Amino acid sequence: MSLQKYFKEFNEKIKMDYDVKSELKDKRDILLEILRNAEGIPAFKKFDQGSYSMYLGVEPLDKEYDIDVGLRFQVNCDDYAPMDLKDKIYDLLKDHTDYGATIKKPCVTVTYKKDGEAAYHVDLVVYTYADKDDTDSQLYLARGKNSESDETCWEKSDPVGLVNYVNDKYKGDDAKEDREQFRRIIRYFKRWKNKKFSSSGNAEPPSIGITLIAVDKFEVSKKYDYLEEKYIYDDLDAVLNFAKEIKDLFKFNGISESGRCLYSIEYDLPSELKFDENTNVFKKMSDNYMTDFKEKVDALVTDLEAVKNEADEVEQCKKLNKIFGDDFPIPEVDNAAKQQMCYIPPTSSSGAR
Amino acid sequence: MVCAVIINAENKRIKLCNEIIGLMYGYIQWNSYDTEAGGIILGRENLGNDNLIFEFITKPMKKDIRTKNRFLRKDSEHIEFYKQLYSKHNGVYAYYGEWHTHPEDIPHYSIIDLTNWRKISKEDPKEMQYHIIVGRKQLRIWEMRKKCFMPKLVCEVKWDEINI
Ligand SMILES: [Zn+2]
Repeated sequence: MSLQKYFKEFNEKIKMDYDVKSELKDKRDILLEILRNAEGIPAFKKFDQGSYSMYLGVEPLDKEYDIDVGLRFQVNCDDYAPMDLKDKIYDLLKDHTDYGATIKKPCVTVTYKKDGEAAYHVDLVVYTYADKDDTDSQLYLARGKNSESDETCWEKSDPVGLVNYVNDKYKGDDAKEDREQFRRIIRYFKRWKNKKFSSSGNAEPPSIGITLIAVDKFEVSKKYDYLEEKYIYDDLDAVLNFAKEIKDLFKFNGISESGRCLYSIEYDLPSELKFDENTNVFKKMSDNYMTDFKEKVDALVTDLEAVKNEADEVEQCKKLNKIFGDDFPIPEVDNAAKQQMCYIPPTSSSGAR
Repeated sequence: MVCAVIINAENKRIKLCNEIIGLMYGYIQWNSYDTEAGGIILGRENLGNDNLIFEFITKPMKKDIRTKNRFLRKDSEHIEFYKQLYSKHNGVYAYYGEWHTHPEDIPHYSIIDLTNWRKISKEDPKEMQYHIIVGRKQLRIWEMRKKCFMPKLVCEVKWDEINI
């Protein structure tokens, strides 16, 4: 299967670029320095959350790069209102860049310009402890945009546990190749998602949902090759099987007023982690958005099956390029076929009798 | 329109692209006065596996001999076409066999066909050829292996099943 070769090229293309990553880290560190030196900001420990910390970063299509940074303040949750620290961080950072900062429900976002455009942003997430003297005590996330809203609250959270939950899958040197396929498949899915869903509102299923389903349901696709004495990985089978797993999670959820069959998807954060109740990672998506998600996953399964049934590698790549976008390479016929001898019988004589 | 046909052979799949099937369909001998048609089958082999893609065929040319029961591929244009394809694509296209029509519903090879296929099998450095005969209700494909004297039927395609 040298289709695998093209999947690997695709992976290399969409994988978060190392230089971008270090540029983002530099920006992050500058912001953290400002906060550390500011008066009235309690001491905190930072940790990376989000896709980088799980090695699942994907180059975004027509949207900004982002980096998620958790700030664990060494204070008691009871001593602060949820907005206290977010407001302070906002005040300190709002003039740091031309684009300023914004308070969002889960974080404070600082946006950077690059070549005159908003190119990336840093999300700072505020956490406090149930007991500041016990770093194993329950963490709380400061949720809310302003203190007037009912939704503003301290929310039980376990961000470090979540990152570990993902990174502990396929641990160690023995699992290296399996782990790489696991990560590749999630990256393919994220790129597909980026291409097929609008990033506005909650139309797009959250990446953490896809990632958690993968941790629990993903199965490695590989075959042992006795001639080459190694495992040959099959990303087409792996991504198809994973798409089927997601497809199976949808449940019929009645018929809408306009007559549309609605489907819903529920996937809870791992129960062994210390999050609030009702942790369905897809809960922000409306019935219609969930149904759109289902229809797109159904189409993905059908389209990937068509790729599997296609005998011609060039055609397979063309179909994958339609599914995953232009970063999936389409080889020239000349480079995807074996060399042949130039021979033809000079004449041929056929007859029905 | 016809769809492509995929044949599952041992350890590999063979794809007949819809364009070549459509072309052959156009030469079916519907009427008793229609003459046989034929040409060569050209294709390539995937780099990553052994699947064969039959992508081009040549059509009957001026200097070929065509009667109700015979087709003689004599015109050098067939070979010219192949040579150009071969050089244009850096040598990845190969000759895979002959195709021709028969004035029968379900095509069978004749003694002349068998003699011809055996001769080709002897002279062609390649291990295998695939020959197609186009009938009124079906198109059938035989595999001719070096040192095997009899062709092996590998696939029959019913015209009414591939939605013309
Ligand atoms: Zn014949």
